[in-house]
Amino acid sequence: MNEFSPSTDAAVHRVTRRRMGVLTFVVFMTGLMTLIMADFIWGMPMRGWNGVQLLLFAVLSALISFGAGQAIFGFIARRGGGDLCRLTRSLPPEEEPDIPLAPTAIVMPIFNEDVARVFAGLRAIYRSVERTGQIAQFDFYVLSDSTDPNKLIAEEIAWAESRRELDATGRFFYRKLRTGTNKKAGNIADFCRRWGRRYRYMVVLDADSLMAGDLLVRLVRLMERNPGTGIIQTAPSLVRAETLYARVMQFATRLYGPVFLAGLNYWQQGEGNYWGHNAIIRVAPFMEHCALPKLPGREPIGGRILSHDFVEAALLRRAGWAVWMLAEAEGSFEEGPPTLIDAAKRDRRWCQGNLQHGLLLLARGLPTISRIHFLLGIMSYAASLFWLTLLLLGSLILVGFGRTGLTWVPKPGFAATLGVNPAVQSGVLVGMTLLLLFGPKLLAVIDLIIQRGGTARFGGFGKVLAGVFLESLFSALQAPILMLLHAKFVVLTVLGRGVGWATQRRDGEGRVNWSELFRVHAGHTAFGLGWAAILAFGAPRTLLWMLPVLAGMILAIPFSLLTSRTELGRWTRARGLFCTPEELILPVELAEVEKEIGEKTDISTHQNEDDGLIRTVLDPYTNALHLCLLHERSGQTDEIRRYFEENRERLLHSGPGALPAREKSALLADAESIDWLHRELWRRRPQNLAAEWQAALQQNKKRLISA
Amino acid sequence: MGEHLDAMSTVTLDPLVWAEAYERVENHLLAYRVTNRFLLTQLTQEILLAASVQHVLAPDRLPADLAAEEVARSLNAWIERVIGPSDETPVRRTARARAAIYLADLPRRWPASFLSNQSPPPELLEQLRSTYVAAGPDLEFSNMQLRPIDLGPVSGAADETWRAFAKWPILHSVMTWGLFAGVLGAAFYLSRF
Repeated sequence: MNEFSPSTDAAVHRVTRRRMGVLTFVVFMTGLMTLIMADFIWGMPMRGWNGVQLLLFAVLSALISFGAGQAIFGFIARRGGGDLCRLTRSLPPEEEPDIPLAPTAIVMPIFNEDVARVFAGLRAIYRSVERTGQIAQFDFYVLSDSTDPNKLIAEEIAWAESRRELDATGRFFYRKLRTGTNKKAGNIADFCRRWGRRYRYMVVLDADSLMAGDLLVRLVRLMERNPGTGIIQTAPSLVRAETLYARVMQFATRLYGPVFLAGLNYWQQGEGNYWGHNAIIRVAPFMEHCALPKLPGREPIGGRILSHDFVEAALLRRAGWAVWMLAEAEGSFEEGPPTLIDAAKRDRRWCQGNLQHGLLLLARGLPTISRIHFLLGIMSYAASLFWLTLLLLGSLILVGFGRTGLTWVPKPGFAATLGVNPAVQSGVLVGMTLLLLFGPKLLAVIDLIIQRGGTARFGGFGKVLAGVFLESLFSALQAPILMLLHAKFVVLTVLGRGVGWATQRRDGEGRVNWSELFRVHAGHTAFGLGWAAILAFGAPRTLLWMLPVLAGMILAIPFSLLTSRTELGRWTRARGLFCTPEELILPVELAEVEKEIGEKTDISTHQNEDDGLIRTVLDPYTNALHLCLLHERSGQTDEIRRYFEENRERLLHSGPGALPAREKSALLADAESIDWLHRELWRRRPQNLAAEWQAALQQNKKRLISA
Repeated sequence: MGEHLDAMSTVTLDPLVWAEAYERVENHLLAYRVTNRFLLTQLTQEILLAASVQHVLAPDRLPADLAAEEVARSLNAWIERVIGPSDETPVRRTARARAAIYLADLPRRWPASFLSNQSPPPELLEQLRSTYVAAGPDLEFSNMQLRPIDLGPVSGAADETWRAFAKWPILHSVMTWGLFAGVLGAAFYLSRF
C-alpha cells in the first residue's frame, strides 16, 4: 500500500476534505441561486407551480455548480506544479526504468468498423511500442464480432498483411467470435476466458483509439508501482477531425479538458470511473469481479448492461480496487463523431446505458462514489428534460399572465425591500448562471496563458480567443438542439423504446443525407417556431430572453448541415481556427495513421455485398486465411451435409445472387464448403460457372497483371 | 523448352483445346501471385506436360480439367516436400500452408522456389515454418463467472413490475395513457388564471 491506495487513513482523510470542498461550493452556489430564484417567484400566484419551478431550478443549478466547481478546483490543483495527489507522482521519472514490465494484452474489439482505419491504428501503436524496446511484453488482439461478410474478409486480410509487415508472428492475433453475445462487454469477456490468464494487464481500445508506446509502457509501470489499482483510465484527446462540427468539439475538449480533468481527479482520486477504452485494466480482479449479469426486465432499462464500463469500475471498487484517472498524460487519442446527427446517435446509446444504471443506484455493496458516478451519468441526460420542462413551464406561466393582463409579481419579494427591482434580480440570476457556464472556459484559457508556450500550441493567443468566442456561439446554438434530443431519448427510453438508430447515411461526398437531416431536425424547427409564436402572441417581452434558446431550435437544420461540412472544417483549419496541438505538430503515431490511410483503402467499402464471399472462394490466399480461422466441423448429420452440398453447388452454378444472405453466411462459416468451393471454382471450366464467377476470374486476372 | 514442345507435339488434340488448358493453368498460377513472366510460362508448361501425360492415359478427359487437377497436385506435392508431414486434415494442412506462403511473401521474395523441384533455401523453410498460421496463442481457459448484482429494493420491485407488464401488456399502455393524461391535466391546471 502506498499513499495512493484509497483505503489508507491519509487517503480517506485527504479525499474527504477535497470532496467536502467541492460540495461546499455546490451547496453555496445552489443555495444562493435558489434563494434568489425563490424570492423572485414567491410573489407570483401560481398555485404550487412555483414549487415545481424552484425544484427544477435547484437541481439544474446544482449540476452547473458542480461542473463549475470541478473546473475551479481543477484550475487551483494545476497551479504550482500540479495536484500533489495525482497517480503519476507515485512513479517519478527517474524511477521508471527500474520497474520491469509484465505481460500485457492490447485488445481492440471491433464490430463492422472501417478496416483500413482499425489496422492503420493498430500498426501505428505496434510500431510505437516497438520503438520503446519493450514489444516483447505486449501482445495485440483484434477481437471481431463483425457480421458483415465483406468486413470479415477484409479484417482477415488486413490482419494477415499487418502480421507480415510488422513481422509480428506470435504477437499479433485475430479472433472472430462466431456468435456475438453482449456486444463489447461479451467480446472482452470471451477474450478473458480464452487467454486472460496469460496476462497481468490488458489495455482496452476502441476501433478509433490510438495510444503512444511510451504511454503504454508507463501505464504498465504505474500499475506495477500501485498494486492496489484495478484500472487506470487515460483522458484521450480528440484527433483527426475533418468536419466543422468535429473540429469545434475537438478544440473544445482539448482546450477546456485539462482543467476539468484535473478537477475530476481532484475529488475522485482512487474512486474514479472507467470509460470503456484507452485504459489499462488488471486482468485477474477484472475476471473475478466484472462478469456482468443481465438486469431484471427487458430492454431498454432491463436486459444486458449497455454502458458496462461504469458498472465494471463500480464492481472493482466494491472489491476494494482503486480506479484512477490519468488526467495529464499525453499520447492517448480517439476520434469523435463527425456530425451532430452522429453525436446524437451515440448519445442515444449512451442515454439508454446511463438510464439503466438507475437500477443500480440502490445496489448493495457499491461505494457511494460509484452511485454518484451513476447518478451524474443519468443526470447528464435527464437534466435536458428538466431544463426543457423549466423553460416550458416558465413560458406558459408568463404567457398566462400576459394573456390575463395581470402583473406577474403582485407581492414584492425581499429583494424589493433592498431596492432591487425584479428586472435586476432576474439579471443577477442570469449573470450567475452565465458565470457558472462560461467561467470554467475562462479559467481554462487563463490556465493556458499561464503555461509557457501554452497558447502557441493552439496557434497563438488571438486564435485561441477567436476559437473560444466562436465555440461559445456554436455551443449556444447546439445546446437547445441537444436539449430536445436528449429529452426525447430519456422519454423514449423510459417508455420502453430501445436503441434502433441505423448507421447514418451519407451521400458520395460524405455530406449528411438531406432526408435524414429533415427527419431529425424538422421537429426541432417546428417546435422552436411554435414556441416563438406563442411567446410573441402571449408574452412578447420574454421573446428576447428566450431568443438564444429558440434560435438554436429554429436554425437546427442549417446548423446541422453546415457543421457537417468537411469544406468548412478545412476552411477553418486553413485560417488557423480551432487548432489543437496535435493538429499543429502531428504526433508520430497519428502521422503514421494518416499516411497509411492515404495509401490503403478499406477494401470492404464501395463493394457489392458479395465481394467478400467471391474473394474468399476465388483467391487462394484469402481462402486459406479464412479457412485457417474456421473450426472444422465434425459429426455433421446427413441433412446438414445435404444442405451445404446443395447450396454450394447452387452458388457456383447460379451465382451469389441466387442465394439468400443466410445461406451465404452459412457457407462462409463452413470450412468444408469453403475449401470445396475454391477447388471446384478452379477445377471447372468457366463455361460451367455462373456469369459472376466468370467475370470475377477475368477481373482477378487483370488486377494481378496490372499490380 | 524445345524438348517440352516436342513432347507436347506428340499429343494428338486440337491446339485450341490446349490453349484453353494453358490459360486456366496460367490464371491459377497468377492467382498464386506468380507474376514473373518467365517463371509463369515455365511452370505452366511443366504442368501442361504432366497433364498431357495424364491425357494419354485418359484421352476421354479434357486437357483443361486434367491441367487444373495437376495444379492442385503439384501444389500439394510441393507443400509435402517443403513443409513436411503433419497430423492435420488435408484441408487444414493445405490451407495453413497456403496462408504461410502468403505470410512469408514467398512468390515475391523467392519466386524461383515456388513449386520448384529444387530444394528450397533454408531461410525460406524457416520463414514458412514460422508463419504457419495460428490466429491466437494456445488457449488458457479461465473462468469468468457471472456474479449477480444485488440491486437492493429495486430488484424485487423492478422484477415484479416487468413480470406484470409481460403478463398483461395492456398495463404498460395504461400507464403511458395515465402519464399523458397527467400532462394534460397539469397543462389545464397551469393555464387557469
